[in-house]
Amino acid sequence: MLRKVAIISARQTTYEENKSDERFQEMCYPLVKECLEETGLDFVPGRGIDFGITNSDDFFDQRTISDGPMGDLVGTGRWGGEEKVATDGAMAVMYAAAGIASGHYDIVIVLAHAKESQVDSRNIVTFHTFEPFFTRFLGMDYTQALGLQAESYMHKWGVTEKQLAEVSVRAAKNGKNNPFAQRTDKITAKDVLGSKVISAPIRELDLYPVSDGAVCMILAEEKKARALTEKPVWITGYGNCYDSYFLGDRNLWESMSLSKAAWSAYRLAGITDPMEELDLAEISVQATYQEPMWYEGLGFSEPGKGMELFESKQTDTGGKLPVNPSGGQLCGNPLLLSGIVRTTECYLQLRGEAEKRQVKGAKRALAHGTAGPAGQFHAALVLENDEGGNR
Amino acid sequence: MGTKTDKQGREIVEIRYEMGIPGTFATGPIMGHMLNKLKDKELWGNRCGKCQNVLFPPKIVCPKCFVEPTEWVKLDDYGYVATFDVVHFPTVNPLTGEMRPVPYTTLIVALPNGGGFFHFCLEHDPEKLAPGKKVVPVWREDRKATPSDLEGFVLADDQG
Amino acid sequence: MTKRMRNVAITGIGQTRHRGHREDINMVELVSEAVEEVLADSRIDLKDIDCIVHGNMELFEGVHQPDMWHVLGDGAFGKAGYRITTGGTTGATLACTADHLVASGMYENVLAIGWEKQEEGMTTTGITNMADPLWEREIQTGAITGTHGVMMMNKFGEPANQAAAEIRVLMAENARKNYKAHLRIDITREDVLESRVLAWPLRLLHMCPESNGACAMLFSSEEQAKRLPQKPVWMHDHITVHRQETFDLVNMGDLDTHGEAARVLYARNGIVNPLKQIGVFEMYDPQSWWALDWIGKFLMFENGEQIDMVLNGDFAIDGKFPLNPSGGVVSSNPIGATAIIRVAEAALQIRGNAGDHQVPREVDLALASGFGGTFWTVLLLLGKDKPDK
Repeated sequence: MLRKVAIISARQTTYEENKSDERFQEMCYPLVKECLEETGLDFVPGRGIDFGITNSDDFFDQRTISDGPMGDLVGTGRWGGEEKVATDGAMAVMYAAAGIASGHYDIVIVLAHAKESQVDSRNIVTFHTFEPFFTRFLGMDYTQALGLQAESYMHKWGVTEKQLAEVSVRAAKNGKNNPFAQRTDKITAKDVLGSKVISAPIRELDLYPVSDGAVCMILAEEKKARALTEKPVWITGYGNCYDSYFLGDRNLWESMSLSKAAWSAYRLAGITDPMEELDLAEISVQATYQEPMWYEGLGFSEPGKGMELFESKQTDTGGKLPVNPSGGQLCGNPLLLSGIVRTTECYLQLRGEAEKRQVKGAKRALAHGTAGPAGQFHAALVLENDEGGNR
Repeated sequence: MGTKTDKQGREIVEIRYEMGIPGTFATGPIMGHMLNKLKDKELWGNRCGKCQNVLFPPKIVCPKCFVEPTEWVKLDDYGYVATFDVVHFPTVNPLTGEMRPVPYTTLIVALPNGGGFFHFCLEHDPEKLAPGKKVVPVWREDRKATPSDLEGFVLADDQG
Repeated sequence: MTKRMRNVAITGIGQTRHRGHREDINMVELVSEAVEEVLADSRIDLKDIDCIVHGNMELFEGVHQPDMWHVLGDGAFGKAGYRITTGGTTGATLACTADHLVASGMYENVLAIGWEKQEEGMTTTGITNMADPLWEREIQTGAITGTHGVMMMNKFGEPANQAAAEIRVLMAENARKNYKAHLRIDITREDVLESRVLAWPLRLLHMCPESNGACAMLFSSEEQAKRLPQKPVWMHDHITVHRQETFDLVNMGDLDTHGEAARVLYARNGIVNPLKQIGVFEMYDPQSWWALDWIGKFLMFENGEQIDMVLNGDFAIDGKFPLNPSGGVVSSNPIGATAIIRVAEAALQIRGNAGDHQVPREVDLALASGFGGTFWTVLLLLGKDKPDK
């Protein structure tokens, strides 16, 4: 990036299964207000917020041009503009950063929202990601795709359901420290293995819950960032990548696009050994098998050794590289938002504001998001505070 | 589902599909309050303390000023035509899946104590309609806190 | 705010022939047609493209996250990609996105693809879905509205009616010279004025069609542009005015985002006399009444001067101020592509290889606009020479 970009403010809602007493406006507006109050900014291009990037999905919102009503919330009624990123939230952060790094804007607000509870079934939405000639006839949706990939991964590397159940257990344990998390009741491996089968081998407690929520963030170029906050969080690495579309065209047990996205980010941030050089990672785990599998793609472990790394406890809080101290997506956040929620968590960590889930002395973090069936698309961001090595 | 042949004699396969995504929309306290009041045959908007504009439908924040509207305002039970459209092109109503009967007329009505909004006009003769004409609302007998509780507007003259 | 960290050039253009029916291909194949053309046009190797930007109006075709499926046809496999969707302005936004991505130093060669397989959905229903489900969705009719026509007739009388028809005739004339255009019809003013009323005074022939089509454009850094054979067209500036949710004409002003966009963009770029300084304008015209109103706003007229200009033939390809030499949106409208086609066509004019619909003068600066949503405007300025900043 030809200009340095930092996140200077970020707020998230609590994630809940059904915010039935709120429309997206009620979810989003308080967050925007808080971010503006914190930074003292107003919607005045050139002397305040120059532009808005929104993040929503027309299908989940059941609304064409779902960024239409968002304009009011990012101040475009006064003057200004807004554009919508219609994929994982990490891309909204990346795109906002691009707008600033290009020189076109100095300060951009990002507002992401999703209410998975609004549609009768989120599977009906993700069913429509599949093409209408063949895969829809098979009744494919993301949950089924996750099942296929889980089966493939477990078979390839000999990972068992019992082992994966511990991923859920740990997520809930971490989530207990996160005031924004949704599903944090203490569970045991037995609970996981006894829960309803959704799409074998994935069970209900293996899978992220239906969730509603929103995130607001403000990004700024270096000079203004320093003027507006004592603790800017810099974006020092970014990467994203698409894999093949048809599940049969890929080896589902490994992720080419995750490695490419991650290493692109690491290269830019000057990282050669992620386990050593990162202080924490917030990764998007939609179902338990993804935790060890994403470790491999992210270069935390060798291929096939993801489960071993998890079981070594090195990725527990207090371990060498804490992963998902927030509990992650398994504790609840909408699918679309995962990357930006992960980014928000990293942001809080790097500012020492993560309260009970704080990783002490965190300087450098990885935020990860994914989109598409069975992790077809991945995005990775490396974030650092002023103490991080790469400034 | 069907096949046909194109001009070059190639077989073309088409797959027919009707997309339905059932869902439930939350209304929140602001829209919810306005919709509830429709049962009482009342239109309620909210007023921005800064620009004094009355927003209808009511909003969480004034688009112009970016401040929260400070008070609820009961709108007048009559208004004036700001502009109108007599539409002859039939389209599907996405909330019902049914074709709209044509012609149908939409209008933007301006209410004296504030609020300008889109709704149906039950008069379809463009000769009779004009900006500035007074219109009054027509309410459905059976009201359920949905937008269609307000059927539309008619010319005040015709109401007698 | 608003400086440019590095120059960005348009180095490749590809578009399909826009058609009412393309039952012979699926949407991925449609996109790949445009992509193949842009690869041929720019002579670039697919491996040198590092990012794909993709957009459409997803509820039209009923495919969720179509960028996933489209990896099969747009070359995104193994590459970075962004998905930006803003309704009708999507195509123009994609050009802005590509500009940001290259100017920022993040990517070197970005392929922006706008597309729509319009026939696979119900367009007006799709557009109506834009309205708030709790209030306006029952009512909104999408783009089929005569309100602007009514306002113009009230203000200017019969000449406005004649001009709206005449501008449509001009668009048809231009489209007949553009083999990519969808509607290439031979019509007279009378044909327009006698066509079926949709929403008075909007008539069938004033209205854009529903087209299937795709348009792909390659945006490159200056370094990369040097390696590629086409004459580079430089991105100068762009502005996005995407405003509020409501159509409240009573309290919220007349939704003049066009005038606002123009005022700010012109001021930033030293355009004091657009009529003289701009060589060609590809304006997003979904219907001829809007076209008649908006060209006045973009040219900063206050008294309907554009009406006389239309009736004088000033907007013709060889006229004083060429408008939509491609035939405009009223001739071709694959919504997700439509706004990027405006940028592509403007770029072709600067390059000098627009073929039969080429403006017969050297073009220094060109404007392209996008429209959508609740009267949103995106306005882009392209130039033959690099921008000064």
